[in-house]
Amino acid sequence: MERYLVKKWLSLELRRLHGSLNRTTKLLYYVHLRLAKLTTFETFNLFHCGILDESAALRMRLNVRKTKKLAQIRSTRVYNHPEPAPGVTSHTFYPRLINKSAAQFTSAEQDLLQKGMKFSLPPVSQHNVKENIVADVAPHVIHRPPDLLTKIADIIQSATTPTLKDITKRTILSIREKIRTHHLILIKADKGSTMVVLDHADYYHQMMECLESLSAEFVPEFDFGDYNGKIRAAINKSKHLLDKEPIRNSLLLPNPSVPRIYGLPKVHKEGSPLRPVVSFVSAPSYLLVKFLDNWFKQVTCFHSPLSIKNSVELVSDLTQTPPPTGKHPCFV
Amino acid sequence: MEYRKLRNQIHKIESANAALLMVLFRKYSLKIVNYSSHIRYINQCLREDLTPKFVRARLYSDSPYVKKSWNAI
Repeated sequence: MERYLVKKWLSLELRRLHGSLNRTTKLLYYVHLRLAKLTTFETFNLFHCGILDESAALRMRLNVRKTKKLAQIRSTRVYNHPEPAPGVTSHTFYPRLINKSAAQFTSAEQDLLQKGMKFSLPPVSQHNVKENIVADVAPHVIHRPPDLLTKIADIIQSATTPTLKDITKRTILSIREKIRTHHLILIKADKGSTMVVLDHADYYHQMMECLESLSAEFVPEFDFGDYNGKIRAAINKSKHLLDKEPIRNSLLLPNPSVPRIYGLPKVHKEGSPLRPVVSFVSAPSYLLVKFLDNWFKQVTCFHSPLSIKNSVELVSDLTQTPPPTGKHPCFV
Repeated sequence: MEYRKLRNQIHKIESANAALLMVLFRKYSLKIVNYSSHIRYINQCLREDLTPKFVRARLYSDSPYVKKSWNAI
């Protein structure tokens, strides 16, 4: 139990420190920009060298101190938890790819699919890749000296750019062909980064079962155009809450469509039932709902007692709240 | 709150003179070294399953059910 708490505490502390580090880095960047404008290059370079020396000395001092601290903690560590037996892992990890269809994938295809949906493939050709990067960087480089952009461009031009290999191209094409011929669907699992391959018919059947279990009904008289028109009319007619025209215009969603439902398979449960998810991003009332949610919270000064904003607030709450004297469980 | 603080600091930087900027540059550079050192220390503690001194984790509960369920974690 205490191990869990310590790990949680340290993770939150780590997140807080990363936040502070990001903030400080941003501020340092702004100071750097301003200072480079106000001072000459030689003065700034001399000053910067001094700061680098000072930082190196501080880093060394801190390293010595932390190493000493770590050695002290290691020497006083108490092993109060049993070690897992050899060959037995304490965690169960799900495979990155679960194939629930009749199609068979080769090892190369499986390796590619296991990389997940966020895996970015290298560009197909090197044509204008480096030039585009330089063009993106150029407006942001306003430092002195003026030849800095040339140096950056030289570094980018001299770097090697990977391109999509022919074997990977062939693997992608074969995966595409299998998906097309076997009518497959590639979706992310409900928890984790697992990819699931399903037959389209199975997915459709499971989704219909899921909708039936939710008592969903087909409404033949529903007209999406009518509904969209009503929402737009309600926004345009609202003269009190939405008193300015730019606000009203900002709540009108261009090209709205019917919210889509999709299912994420729960691979950690028996039978892998689907978890229905409805994406309301394209719904006509999406922006209006967001606006009203903020408005209600502001007007009523709503603050949920059971929710926290971020890890920093959690740490400060945990450190400031004293342990209760009653029988309610809590950890401090 | 944090965002407002950051915005004020940026505003201060934008209107600062060279002397103040040099002081701020030194301060932020050293701060980054401090944060990085502490992050490395905590990462090492997490990797080796160590408990630093600033962590004081205790469970307060009279309920045997809670104790049993939390001990199972």
